Amino acid sequence: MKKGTYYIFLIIVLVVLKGFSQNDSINRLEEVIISDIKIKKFSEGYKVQELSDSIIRNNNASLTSLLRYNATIYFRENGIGGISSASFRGTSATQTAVVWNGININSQLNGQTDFNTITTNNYDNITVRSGGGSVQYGSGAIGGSIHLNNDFRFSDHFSNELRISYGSFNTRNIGVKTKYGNKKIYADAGIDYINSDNDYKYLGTAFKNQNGAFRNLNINGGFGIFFSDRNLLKVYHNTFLSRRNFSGILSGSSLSPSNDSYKDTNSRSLITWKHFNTSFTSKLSVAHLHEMYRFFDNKDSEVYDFGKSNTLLTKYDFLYRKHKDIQVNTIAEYSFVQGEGTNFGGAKDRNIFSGILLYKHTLSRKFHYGVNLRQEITNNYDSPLLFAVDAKFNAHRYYTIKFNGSRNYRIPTYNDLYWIGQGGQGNSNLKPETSWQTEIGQEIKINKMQLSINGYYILAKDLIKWIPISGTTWSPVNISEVESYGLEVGLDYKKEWQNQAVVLKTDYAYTISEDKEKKKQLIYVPFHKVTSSISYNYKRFSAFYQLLYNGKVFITTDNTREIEGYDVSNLGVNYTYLKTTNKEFSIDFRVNNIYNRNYQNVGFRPMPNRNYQIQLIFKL
Amino acid sequence: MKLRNLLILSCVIGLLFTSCSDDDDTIFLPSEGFENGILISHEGAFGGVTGTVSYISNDFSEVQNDIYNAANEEDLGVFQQSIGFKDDLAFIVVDNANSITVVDRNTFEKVGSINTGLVTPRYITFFNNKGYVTNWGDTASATDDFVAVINLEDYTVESTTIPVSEGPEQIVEKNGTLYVSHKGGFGSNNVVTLISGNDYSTEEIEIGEKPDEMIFDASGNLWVLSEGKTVYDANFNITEQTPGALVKINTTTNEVDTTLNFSGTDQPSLMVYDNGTIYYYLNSKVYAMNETSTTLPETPIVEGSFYGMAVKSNTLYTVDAKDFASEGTLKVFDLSNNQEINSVSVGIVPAKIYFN
Repeated sequence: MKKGTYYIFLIIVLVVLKGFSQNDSINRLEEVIISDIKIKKFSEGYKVQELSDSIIRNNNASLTSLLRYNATIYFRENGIGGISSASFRGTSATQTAVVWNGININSQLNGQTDFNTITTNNYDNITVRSGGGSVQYGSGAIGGSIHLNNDFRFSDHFSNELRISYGSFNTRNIGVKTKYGNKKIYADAGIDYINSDNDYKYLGTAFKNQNGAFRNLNINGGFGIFFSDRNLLKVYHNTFLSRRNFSGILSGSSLSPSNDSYKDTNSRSLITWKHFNTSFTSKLSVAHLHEMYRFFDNKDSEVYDFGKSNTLLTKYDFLYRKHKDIQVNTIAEYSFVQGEGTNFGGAKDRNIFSGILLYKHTLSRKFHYGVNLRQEITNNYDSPLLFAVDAKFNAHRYYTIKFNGSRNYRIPTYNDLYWIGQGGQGNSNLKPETSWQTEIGQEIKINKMQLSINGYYILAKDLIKWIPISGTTWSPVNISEVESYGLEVGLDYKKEWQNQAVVLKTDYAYTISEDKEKKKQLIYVPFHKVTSSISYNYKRFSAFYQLLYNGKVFITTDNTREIEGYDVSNLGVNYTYLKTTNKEFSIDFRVNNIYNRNYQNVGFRPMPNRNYQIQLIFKL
Repeated sequence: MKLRNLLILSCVIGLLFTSCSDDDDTIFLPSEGFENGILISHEGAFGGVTGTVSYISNDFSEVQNDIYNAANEEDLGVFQQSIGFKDDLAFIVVDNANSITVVDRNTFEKVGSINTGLVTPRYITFFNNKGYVTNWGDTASATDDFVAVINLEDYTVESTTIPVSEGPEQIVEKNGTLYVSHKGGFGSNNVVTLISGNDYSTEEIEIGEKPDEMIFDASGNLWVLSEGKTVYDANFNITEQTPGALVKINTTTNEVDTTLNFSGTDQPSLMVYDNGTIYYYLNSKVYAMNETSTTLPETPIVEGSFYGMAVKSNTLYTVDAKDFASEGTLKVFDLSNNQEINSVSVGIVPAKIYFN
């Protein structure tokens, strides 16, 4: 096995690591950091993985790239920058929820989030919560949910950061972030712009990625004020604007030319008033979400198809604490959605009212459990009663066992309900997709090593599938049933001594996801996925090596055709020239696809050859 | 479990599954003669399935899928639209790849390819040692459609192209005239264009909506099957659904001789001809009509989900593309009793059946 060398490298590192004794030296400043803490509070029995800002920094700025290399989620990406959808634990693209500062932002139009329309740089942390979460996070939280969080830091500080990077394929990225805070006020603003010709070589052919250029502008802002000791007002905002050309496909020995272009205009605003009391916290939130896409069949023309939606969400959240051990959280949520588009035949409204009850009981220091319920009322479809139960038992200093079971849903999208156009017709009688799911997780934590093993089972029913209703017209119906189950194994290891540190992270996911009728693995769901990274730190120098192995995927429903598996590795080094308490200047250099692998993630769409990126970061 | 064991386990897991990426050796099938048998052209599918050609021997004892790749170790691309035959050569037309691949029809070894000058090519025919290929052009434009002229010496597209109206589909030749049915691409059209093979002058005959399939009967008349069209209003509600029509064009006068209109919203699609009988496909049923009949038949002969159809020696060959994402089936019917006599699994999205 020629490819073996770098795995051997990994083994050696692992064996060497084993020899070192453990020690603990993480020192974190004690500060008031206010984040989306609900995820920690009411997810005891779930697998929750937080990606820190250093991990975010070591990856390309798209959410696809970050999660592909650092989580078990599989992505179906139409080449770099193209449409990218997730499959979490073998579920469909609409069964992963993306949650922005506590608000579900999956598209009302197609039910998904395009992971290439989320810029990671301006989030303080990104959390992956595996398993069903519809009670708390709404439609689509079946495979799991991805949480994009901005933290508010109420302590005296003023920091500025400038990031400039240049890379292969004329990829230019600039980001500015500024943060200010004292005990009463916090404010931040960030802007990030990326522009790429994205004309990478198709290895083994004479072609390049034609018409793949994209540019994205992302703006984030936050403001918070304690206008009394007990009252906090927070405002969040994010605007994302992008224009992406969509490349053609490489099939046979020819490249199909493409002239398509796609514009996204998304904006999200959230205002929250929080009142703290000794026994309760009350929170009133109002959010506005806007999404719009425009598809240009010819990028030089002004003619386009579009779809857009506006959502106004009002939420009242009341958390009651009876001693420290019992917490009861009731939430009432009302959302009004208006969507329109080329293929919806006029504006369509939907009103959804939800009542949510979360209960958490800490029975002893070792045992926590929670019971959650949600019921929705809407004019558009019948909504089932959703529930979740979870428990966590710290059986031993080294060993924790977790359990959760839940019923979740994915509501029909605007496309499903209202699409009208040649070849397709929406169905207004659809009901939500539902799932019954359960999971058992185990964690073994020995000093600086953590091993987690999670097994899960998901039965998804009434899945919405578009089928032909006549020779030329397709329409969605609640027809298929899919059974997904699998195993995830994660190993994290950290070793620090004197002025050196090594961090190792490996995750492996084994996924079966079968159509109940056909008894065949769903297309584009790999059986195996491995992500692994090792980073090393010495004084001001650091380096990392990142590996992704993605097993084969079937591309036909009878499992007779497949795209072969592939592995891709990236390597990066970082050096900090100057480091004082509040000033820093560092330089990153990164090589992607170091072995120049020729691979495809979606058929007919080759991925980039070896490429380079250099980044300068100034902090003052 | 000790720490050491856990670390080793992690490596083993990583190693076990990464080693899977070493690909299996490709198996080369010996190129055999495809002289006597059935060729099935498959469109392929988005998401990574290339168009392919399958060979099935006349006695069904032998089935070989993807004979082009077996002979040439490369793929044809998507969507494989049609195959044209001339002498010992087969011309495989792939629309999204904008290519025509020329192979020896008996070995499927590649002889040449045409990769420039074609824009969404659909069908090919031949006259006077030239090839004529219908092209949709940019599918968003109704005014750039054309018939490309192929130099068969060096497999290039000649600089002179023949502009035609929206959505040229099938093309056939009789007595020096090229007949082009205009189904209309992604929209609709309602004409057959007559192109003089000598001076490329054109003339349009208006017939029913969405003309597609064309056959010549024993007397040399051209039969065109128009599918009929569906009209939507601004809100995409169906406002009109016109029925199809079976139209006979006299190839001596080049005028419409007979029009047989379908009733209601009947929209037929496939049509083939053998020995005085026209077979067409309507609402998941196959009907047979004598070429001299003045009315459409009322009783179907065979039922099924068919995406392609061919007839030879009183035997009907059909292909079912199923969900357009799994292997399709070739089903064969004996037309003396309309019973199914054979069924064979073929490639992904079988669409056209040819006899070699």
